[in-house]
Amino acid sequence: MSVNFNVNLFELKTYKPFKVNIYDPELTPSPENMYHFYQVLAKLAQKLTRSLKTAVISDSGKIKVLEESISEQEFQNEVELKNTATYNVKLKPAGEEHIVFAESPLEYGRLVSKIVDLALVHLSNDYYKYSIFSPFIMERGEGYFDEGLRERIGIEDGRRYYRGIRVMDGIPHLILNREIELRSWKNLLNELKVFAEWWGTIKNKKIDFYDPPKDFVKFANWVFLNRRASVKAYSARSLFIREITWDYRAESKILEGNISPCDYHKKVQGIIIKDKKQPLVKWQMITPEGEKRDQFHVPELLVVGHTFKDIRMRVSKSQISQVFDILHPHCGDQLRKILELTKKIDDILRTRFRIIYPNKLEFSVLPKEVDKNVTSSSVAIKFGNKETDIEPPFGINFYRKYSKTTTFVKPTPERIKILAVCEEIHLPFIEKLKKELEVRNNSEVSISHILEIDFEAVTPSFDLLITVTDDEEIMRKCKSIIINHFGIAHQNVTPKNAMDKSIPQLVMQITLKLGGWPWVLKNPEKVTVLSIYAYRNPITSVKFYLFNLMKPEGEIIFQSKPFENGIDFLKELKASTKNIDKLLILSSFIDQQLQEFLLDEIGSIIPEFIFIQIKQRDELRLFSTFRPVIKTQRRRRKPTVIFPIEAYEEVPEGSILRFADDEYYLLTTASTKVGTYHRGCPNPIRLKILGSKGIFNKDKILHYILSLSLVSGTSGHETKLPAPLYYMKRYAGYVNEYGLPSNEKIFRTLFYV
Amino acid sequence: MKLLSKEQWFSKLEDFSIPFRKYGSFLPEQRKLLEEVYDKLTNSQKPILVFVAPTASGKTHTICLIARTLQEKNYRIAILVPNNYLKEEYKKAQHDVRGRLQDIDFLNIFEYLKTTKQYNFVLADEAHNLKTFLELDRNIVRSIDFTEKEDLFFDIASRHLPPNKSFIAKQLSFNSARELLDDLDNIPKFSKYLRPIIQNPTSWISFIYIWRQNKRCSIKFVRSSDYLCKLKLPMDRILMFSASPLSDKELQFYCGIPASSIERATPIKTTADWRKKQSVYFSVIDELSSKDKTSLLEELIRETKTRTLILFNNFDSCKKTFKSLGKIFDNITMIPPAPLMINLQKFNDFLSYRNGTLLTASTVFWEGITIECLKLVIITDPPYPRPTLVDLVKKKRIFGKQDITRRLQQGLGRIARRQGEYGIGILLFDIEKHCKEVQNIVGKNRVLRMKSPQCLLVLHKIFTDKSPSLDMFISSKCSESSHI
Repeated sequence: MSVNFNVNLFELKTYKPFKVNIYDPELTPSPENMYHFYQVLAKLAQKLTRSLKTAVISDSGKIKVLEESISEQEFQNEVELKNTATYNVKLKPAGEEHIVFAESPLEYGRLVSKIVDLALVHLSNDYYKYSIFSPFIMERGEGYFDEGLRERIGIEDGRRYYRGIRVMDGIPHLILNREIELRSWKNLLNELKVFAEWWGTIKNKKIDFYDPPKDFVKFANWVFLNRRASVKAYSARSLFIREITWDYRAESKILEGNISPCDYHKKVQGIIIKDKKQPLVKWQMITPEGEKRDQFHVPELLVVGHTFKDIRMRVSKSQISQVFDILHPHCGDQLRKILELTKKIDDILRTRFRIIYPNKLEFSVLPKEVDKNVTSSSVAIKFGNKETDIEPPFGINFYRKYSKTTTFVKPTPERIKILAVCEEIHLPFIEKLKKELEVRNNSEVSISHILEIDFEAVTPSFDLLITVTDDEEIMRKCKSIIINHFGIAHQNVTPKNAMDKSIPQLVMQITLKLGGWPWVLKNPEKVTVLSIYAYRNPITSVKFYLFNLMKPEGEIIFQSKPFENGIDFLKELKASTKNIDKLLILSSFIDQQLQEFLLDEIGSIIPEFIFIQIKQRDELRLFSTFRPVIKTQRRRRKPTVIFPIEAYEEVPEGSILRFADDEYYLLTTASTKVGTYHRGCPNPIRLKILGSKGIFNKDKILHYILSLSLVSGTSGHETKLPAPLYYMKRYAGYVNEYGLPSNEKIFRTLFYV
Repeated sequence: MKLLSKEQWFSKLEDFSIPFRKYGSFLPEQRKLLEEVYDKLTNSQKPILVFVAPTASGKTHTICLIARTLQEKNYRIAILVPNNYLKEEYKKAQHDVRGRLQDIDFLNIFEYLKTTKQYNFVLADEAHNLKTFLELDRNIVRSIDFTEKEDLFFDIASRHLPPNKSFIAKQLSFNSARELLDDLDNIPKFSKYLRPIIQNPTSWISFIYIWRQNKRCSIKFVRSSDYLCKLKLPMDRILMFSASPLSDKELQFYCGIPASSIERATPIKTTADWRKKQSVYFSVIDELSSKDKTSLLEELIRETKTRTLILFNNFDSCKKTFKSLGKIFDNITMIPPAPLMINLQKFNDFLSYRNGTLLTASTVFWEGITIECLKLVIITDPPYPRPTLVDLVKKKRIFGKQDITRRLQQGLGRIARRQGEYGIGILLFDIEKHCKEVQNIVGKNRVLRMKSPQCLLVLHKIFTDKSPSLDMFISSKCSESSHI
C-alpha cells in the first residue's frame, strides 16, 4: 500500500501582478475619534467590494481597489455608523501601484491574505475576525459542544482558521490551518453567570449573580486572573484580565470624563450595553509614555480564552473524552476541515471576484504533495550495555523490554535514602518504585515513611523526597524548601498516577534528579550541542536567558543560571564554549544581536559549527494520506461530497520535511492512541539553518536533532523540542514558578524534570 | 450464607429432581457444577459468582434445582435469561422439578432492568449473552445500518476504510461522529431515531463497522459512561452461568461490576466421549453468485427435507432469499430482527414443522439458541466480523479475521448440541480462504471441501436414499483422515 505525504499548503497556480488603485477618503462630518474613522472606511470597503466585484481594502487610512478603479459617480458615498452618525465619504484618487510577487513577496502575500479574508468575512456570513490585524478567521456558530454541555460549563468551542502565504521550493502557497479555541459561551457575562450557577451547585448555595458572596468573587478572580480576553463586538486588540469587580457596574461613571462604560460604548462604538448592572473587567493599559493605567471593560462585549484545566474542572467525567476529541481532532478530521475551507474560498472567489480570480490569482484546492521532500527513520539508543532501534511511534515502551539485569548507563549514587510522605495505602507502590530504582541503578535504597511533613522542622538527612499528593501548596513548599533551600531532589506523584504503569517513567525521572542518566543515543553525530533559550512571561514581563551544553550522546554536561542581561549572557556563553571543536547551536529564538554574536564571535573561535533556530509553534501540518478507492456512483440525487484525498488519523511521527535549502520541519511527536482511534494532529517543529562553518551533512544533522527529541523521553515526558531545549524550557518554567534555587549542588542535576 | 450440609443439600436436590429419580444420577457435569455452586455459596462473600459449564451439560435443569432449594428457604428468586426463547425453555424445564418453580420470576434482561422488585438471588443463564442484549437496549445503544443505497455510504467508506482493508470496526473520534450525525440528521428515516443523540452528542460514543465487499455500514451509538448499564445487584447474590463467561473487563464495561466483586468457580470440563455427539461439515468450493446460492439452497432443501437453519449475514440477503424460496416451499419461516415476542411466535411456527426451514440473520440464532432436532445448518456467506463494543473500547482496531472465526464457531455450533445428536453443516463458500483455523473450530478431519453438485449428491444419498444413514455417514467420515 502506498502512503503519500501532503501538507496544508495550496500552490498558487496563478500569481500575476496586482494593479492597486489608491484613494484618499475625506469624511464629513469629521469623526470624533480614529475608531469611527476606521469603522467608516471598513464599511465603505465592504460596500465597494460588493458593488465592484473585486477586492477593496481599507488599509492605513486609504481605500485600495484591486484591478478596478472607482468611477467618478461612486466617489461620493454615505456610510452610517449605527447609534453614532451618518458620514459622507468623498474619495480622491491617490495613484496606483503594481504589486509583483518577485519584487515584493511580503506585500503580495499580504494582499492575497486580504483577499481570502474578504471572501470569508465579508462575502460569507459564516466567519468573522476579532481584529483586522489578526491572521485568524473565526467561524460563527457555537461549535461542537452541545447546548446541555454549554449550559453546564459556560464554555464553547470556537473554530478558527489561520491563513497566510508560505514559499516552498520558491513557489508561493496559500497555507490554511484550523485550530480549536475554547472561549466563553456567547460572551464573558454569560459565562460568568453559568460559572456562578455551577459554583453554587457544587457548594450547594443559591447565588445572586448581582450580589455574589465574597468567596465566589475570590474564586472567580482566581480562575480569570491574567486570562486573555478578546473583544467580540468590534475589532480591537485583546487584553489581560486583572480583576473582575462587582464594586463597579457597567453603569458606574468611572471612566475619564465621568462617563460609564455603557455611555462610552454607545458614544464611541455605537453599541448599547444590555445589562447595565453587570460587573466589570479591570485591565491595564500602557500609555505611550510607558505608564500603566487601570481601565475597565464590559464582560458582555468580551470573550475569554480557556485552558484544558478549566475544561477538566467543569466537564463531567463521562464527557471528558468526547470533549478532548473536539479539542484535538485527528489528522483525518483536520485535513477534511482544511479542504472544505479551501474549496469554499475557491468557490466564493470564483463567483464573486471574477476580475481577480482566476485571471490574476488562483490556487490549487488540493493539498501540496511532498512525498519527495519527506524522509523518515528510526532512532538507535543504548540502554545499559544493550542497543536497540526504536521505530515511530516513539515513546518509552522500550523500557519494558529490558530485563531486570539491565542497568542505566550512568547510575545514581550507590546508596539512596528516600523520605516518602504519603498515606499508607500508597506504600506498596513506593516499595515497587524503590525496587525498580535499586535494580536499574544497582543501588541500595532505604525508605523512611511519614504521613505528613513538617516543613518547619525538616532536616536534610535524605537524598530524595517522594510525595504522593495533589495539594499544590505542599508541592510549592517542597520546591521552595527541599529543592531550592536544601538542594535535595523531590519527586511528586499524584495519587491517581501512583500505579505500576507509572514506575518506568518515574524511575528515569528520579535518576536524572539524582545525577544519573538512564540511556543515551548510539552512534550520535560527533558534535557538542549548545542550546540557547529565552524565557518571557507576557503578564509579568519577566525575561531571562539560559543555555546548556550537551554531550553528543545526549547527556547534559553544563547548565547556566538565568541571565536577565543579554550582554552578560553572551559573555558567559563565549567563555563556556571556547574549547569546543565542533558545535551544533540550537536556539529557541533569534535576534540580531544574538545572531551577530554567534556568527562573528563564537564562529571565529570554533573551528566548525552549525547554527539552527527551532520554532515550536507553526501552522504547517504534515499528513500521511491515501486516495480513497470507493467512488460514488452516478445518481440522480445530489452527489455525495467525496474528498479526493484522505489523511490517516495518526500523524507520521519521525518524518523530516525539507521545505527549502535552509528550512526543514521535523515531526517529533505522535498522535495519541485512544482505544481504536487517534487523537491530535501535532504540528512539526520548524528548523531554520542560520549559518555554518565547516562541513556538515545536513541529513545526518537533521536525523540527529530528531533523535534528540526522543532523548527528552529520558525524563518520561513526550516533547516536541530536542532534549537540551526541552530541559531548558522546564528549567525556565521552574524558575518562573518556584524561583531560582539558592543551593548550588542542585544545579549538577536536572532537578526540574 | 447458611446452607444445609453438603450431603443434606444434595439429598434435597436429588429429591427435587425428577430426572434423578428416573435415572438414579445426575449427569457428571451437573454434579460437578452443583458442587461448585455449593462451595461458592458457602465459602465466598462476593456478590457475583461466575460458573462455567459446557454447552448441553444440563445447565437449565441444574439452575432450576438450585432455584428450587433457595426458594424453599423463602428467598425471593429470579431466573434471568438473555431472551424470550430461553424463558420458554425454562417454563418447560420447571416440570422436571418436583413442586415446580412457584413464585420464581423468569425475566429477560430488559424486564430485570425495569423491575423494582427486590430479589435475594438472581440466577443468570447464558450470562455471556448479557452483552448482546444490553446492546439492544435503545436507552443504552442505538444502531443504524445502511448500504450503498445511501449516498452517505461512499463518503463514510472513503474516509474510514483504508484502501488495503476490506473491513474495519473502530470507535469514532467525536468530531467524525458529530459530522456523521449532522449528515444522518438529514436522512428522515434515521433522524427521528437518532434525535436523543443529535441533541446531546457529547453524552454518546460512536462505533463504526464498514464492510467493503457488501458495501454495508453499521453505526452504533453508545451512551457514554464507564459501563453500558449498571446491573442491579440482588440483596444476596447473583449467580452467572455460561459456557463462555464474560471476562472481568466485559463485566465492568457492560454491567458496571468491578472485578473485586466477582468470584469465579473452577470451570467444569465436559467428559464428552459418552455423549456421541457428532457432526461433519461441507464447504462448497465453487464461486457462487447470490442467484446460484439461492438455486443451491432450493435444491438442498428439496434433497434433505429435514429441520434446517439457514444463517445470513444481513437481513437484506435473508429477505431476498426468503422471497424466492417462500414461493416454492410452504414450511419456510423467516425471523427478522423484530420485537422478541413476535419472533417467538414465528419460531414456534418453524418448530411446528418437523422438516421446517428457518432463515435468519439474527444474532440470537447465530449464537446461543438451541433448536431441538436440528440436523442441518447452512451458512451462506463468510460471516461479517462483528466485534463487540468492549473489544473496540478496550482493544486495538479490529480488521476482522478473529471475529470471523468466532462467529463461524458459534454458527456451526448450532447442530449436534445434545447427547447422541448428529448434524451436518454446509458452508456455501470455500472455508479455507476465509478461516484457516477451521480445524480448531470444528475438530480435525471434520470438513469436506467439494463442488456444489457433489455436495448435492452426498446429501441426496444421506437424506433421500438414506444410504448411508446420517449417523453412519458421519461416523465413517469422521474416522477418515483425508480432509482438511
